[in-house]
Amino acid sequence: MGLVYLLQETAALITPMNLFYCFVAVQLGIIFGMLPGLTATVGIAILTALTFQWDPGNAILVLIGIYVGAIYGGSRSAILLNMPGTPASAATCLDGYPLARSGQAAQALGLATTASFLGSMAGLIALSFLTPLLGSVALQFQSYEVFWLAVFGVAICGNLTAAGDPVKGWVAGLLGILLSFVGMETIHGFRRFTFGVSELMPGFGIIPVLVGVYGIVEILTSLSDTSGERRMPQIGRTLPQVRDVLANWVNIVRSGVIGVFTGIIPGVGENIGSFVAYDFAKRASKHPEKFGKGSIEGLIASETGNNAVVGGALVPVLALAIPGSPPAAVLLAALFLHNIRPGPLLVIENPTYMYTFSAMFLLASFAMFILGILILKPLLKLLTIRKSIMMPVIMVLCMVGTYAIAGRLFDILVMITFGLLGYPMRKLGYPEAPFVLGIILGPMVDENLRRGMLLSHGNPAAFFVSPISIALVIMTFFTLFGRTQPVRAVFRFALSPVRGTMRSIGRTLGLVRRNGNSGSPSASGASEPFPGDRGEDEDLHK
Amino acid sequence: MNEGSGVPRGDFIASVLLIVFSGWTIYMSFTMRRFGELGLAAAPGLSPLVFAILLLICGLILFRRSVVRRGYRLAMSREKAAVFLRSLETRHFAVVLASIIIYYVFLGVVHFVLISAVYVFFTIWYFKEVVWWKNLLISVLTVSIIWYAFDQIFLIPLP
Amino acid sequence: MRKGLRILLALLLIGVAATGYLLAAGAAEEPEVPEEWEPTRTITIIVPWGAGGASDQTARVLAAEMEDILGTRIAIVNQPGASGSTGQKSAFDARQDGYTWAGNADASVATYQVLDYTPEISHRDWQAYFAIFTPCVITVNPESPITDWDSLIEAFETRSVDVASAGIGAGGHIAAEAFAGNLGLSYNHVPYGGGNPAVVATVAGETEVVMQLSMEVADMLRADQLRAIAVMDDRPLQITGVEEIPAITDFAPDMPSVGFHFGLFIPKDIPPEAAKAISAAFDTASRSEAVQRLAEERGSVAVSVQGELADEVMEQAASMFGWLLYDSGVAEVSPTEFDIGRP
Repeated sequence: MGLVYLLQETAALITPMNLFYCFVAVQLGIIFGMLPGLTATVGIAILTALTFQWDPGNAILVLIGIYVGAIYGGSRSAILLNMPGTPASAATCLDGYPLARSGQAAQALGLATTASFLGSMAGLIALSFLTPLLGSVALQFQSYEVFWLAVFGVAICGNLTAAGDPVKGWVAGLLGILLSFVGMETIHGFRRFTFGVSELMPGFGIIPVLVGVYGIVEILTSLSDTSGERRMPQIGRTLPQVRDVLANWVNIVRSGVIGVFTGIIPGVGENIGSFVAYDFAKRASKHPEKFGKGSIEGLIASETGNNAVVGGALVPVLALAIPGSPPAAVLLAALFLHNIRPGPLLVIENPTYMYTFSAMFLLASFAMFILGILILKPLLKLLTIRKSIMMPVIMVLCMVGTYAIAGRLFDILVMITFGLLGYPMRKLGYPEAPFVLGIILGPMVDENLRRGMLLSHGNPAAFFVSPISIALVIMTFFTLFGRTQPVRAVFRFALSPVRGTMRSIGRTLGLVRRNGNSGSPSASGASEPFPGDRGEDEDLHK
Repeated sequence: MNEGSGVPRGDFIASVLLIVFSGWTIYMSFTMRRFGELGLAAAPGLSPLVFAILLLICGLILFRRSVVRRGYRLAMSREKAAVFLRSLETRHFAVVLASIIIYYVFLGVVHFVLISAVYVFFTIWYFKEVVWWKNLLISVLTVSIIWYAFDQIFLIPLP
Repeated sequence: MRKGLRILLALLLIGVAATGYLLAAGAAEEPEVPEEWEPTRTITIIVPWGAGGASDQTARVLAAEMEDILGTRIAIVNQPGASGSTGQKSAFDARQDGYTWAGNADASVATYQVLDYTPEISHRDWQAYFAIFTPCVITVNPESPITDWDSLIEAFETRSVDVASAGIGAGGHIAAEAFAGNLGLSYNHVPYGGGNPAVVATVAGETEVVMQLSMEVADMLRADQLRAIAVMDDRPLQITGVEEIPAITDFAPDMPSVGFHFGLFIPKDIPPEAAKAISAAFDTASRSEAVQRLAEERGSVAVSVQGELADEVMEQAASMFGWLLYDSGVAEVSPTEFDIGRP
């Protein structure tokens, strides 16, 4: 029934004018996403102002196009230049750039496009068919649960490094977290580590930090590199191999589900979704050693994950008028400004709007795919431009992008400073990705930990009550200690009749989730909101 | 935890810095103001304290590892230092960094298009890979396009 | 290399050209020509809060209306952080020529001094233009045993009630302080990172009560996800699709009314002709259908307050919010240092 509505609305939407708007918007979104500093949030906010007086239908279509395009576009610069255009693509750098360096840029770009498209489809399914159902999941995640989710994110940091040195991953993550504490905090309005400097009060924004540790470091590194231009002959086809996609279908479905759920959780968006999907893929993979050195699995997981978040983040927008991610918050405001009131009443007042909205999302996803493949060839030419010409231009764009976020010159200083911090970090093998993740996670951990304490009147036991919390605690435990000998031994003993080591548990997670999604997605999704919980529980029960 | 990179000396310095930094953070967060009857349990210093302690542990692990690998032998011969300082890479690095900082200092003082074009022109000129008029064309054109798109179309204020 | 560069340029150009087209399609109406002050550049409104919030929405609606009247384009820059004080300060530090405004709320601007965020900028340095008034509403989770005023008081007297708010000094916090202070009650304050998360926490049942702005609770009230007990005002509040919410003064006659005025803030030192033109443009814009619709939808009241009337609103806000924050120990600087009298 829902499918019929969706197709009807899509058919109604396909007019030459709408298609034109949609393609232009998505292309614009891709450009925004590619440019360092300009994110989906900024893109939507700017276009909200520009389309203010338009007919609501077109305006919303343009905004959705920008959102979808920007999250995808970030992967372009991540793969080609090792500079994630948006924080959501930081995990894409880990494998996308090594692939490009080894001459497989075309393949990487093509696969990222396909993965983004499939991720969007996962989001679309959630958005158009499961919105009322999944909406309630958003409310399940409150202070305690989000706290544990953030802790889980910190634990992941050790896994986000190519050098196989988890300690350096954690050091980078912890440094990021500690630096994110600078500024005025939300609970008591206390100014931490500001030393009376009023510019430090808002803290370090994620964008200046991201552009600094990736962009500036890359500019410094490649311009001071004297070993001459290494121009890698680019091989491989642009259209992704069907074989690669098929071989990764478990990975894609897993990352899609993870992305959708991270999207649904209020306040947790694309930036975290791709990291979690990446981590799960690494642990379930048969070749975890390839991750960080150009693993196709890792690239697919990250890109599927972050685009699935887009659909997921729009679910609570429609169901509850609660944004699931920062860009979704701006989109929600735009909906209000255009006299469309999402929320619990939407189903009663305007029952088909959900499908109209989904149809726009569908159109934007297709536009993203087509444009993504079309501009792939010209993009590859970027690799042939000499570094000494390309880098200064990128530097100008970094300045512009960082300044555009809030119109503050201080942010540019922050960007340069973090570039100077990031340079020795890279030389010494401390990965950037967990550092960026730490900056995102820091406020989440801090705020929810202390709010939980206030709610429970200082009783830490309250953090271990809800089933979601416990599941997240277990997952964190395995992430941290799953590979150490004692834990493995105990589990090999306990689980020997069933499967055995952690690796297979990881793999079962993939299988169980796959079944859950193709069979009855709602049943597994609604009762246990976080993908992965069931796998462990089931194995333990057997 | 015994795998790792081949920079024991760098690890040694980094671990010492990390230990000092986390120690200082622990002190700072311990002395932060506390609100209400919950005291430290909900104080602004709680999370910095916890994470600084974790960082301290990581720092100590690194320290131990680098000491085992003799990372503390920091002595650097004068010749080596001179070679390092005189190397082309160091010079490039210094010039690129200095030009970025000068660019930042003049942002907001001089018009955006002018300072940006000068910056791009200078950097390309320094690496001497293009004829000067092509260089001029590239720098002026790209910067103007960026300026036009942002300032005139998207109404994003530029410095 | 040059080929690659050409393609890079071409890509940029495509984006530029396409947007130019989009814009041309969007700005169909011809702007009116003003009589005296003719802005020659783009006006910037710095909204020191995130995109999508109440300040942001008010500023965007006003900007869209005033663009046509002033005959120039108005850009909105979100500069969130530090309770809006940093962005408000940068709007003040910009050249005071009438081209840089701020979009904020009275209670925020009026307390930056006592909270020691921007001790050097007084709320009296600003000329305010208010377009939206939104009172605080006492609302509870629908499953809570609190159903009316009496059970509300009983709950506060017998147990420690969790009250969510958007943070220290936010509307919900001030309302709770005023409510509890006036009736001699106590409560457990649970701050969140914004109005929306605080309301959502109450809908989800993590906290029991939230006293945020009517703007932020209107839709949850309409959907029966929250139950309204009273509005912190001396007049009942009418939100379309919701039963009339009784005024708090019906139950506690001495209760002050707590609400936020949203609008524009422009330094008083701008050239007088600019101030005159802006004032006229605001007058028309604030009475426009778009502002009425925004107010109606978001459960608040459309107003058009400027000049000395707005100064009075600011003074009242500074006095009430400043003293409440000082008395509850949140603000460390006494309002008397800034000549702010007790309410």
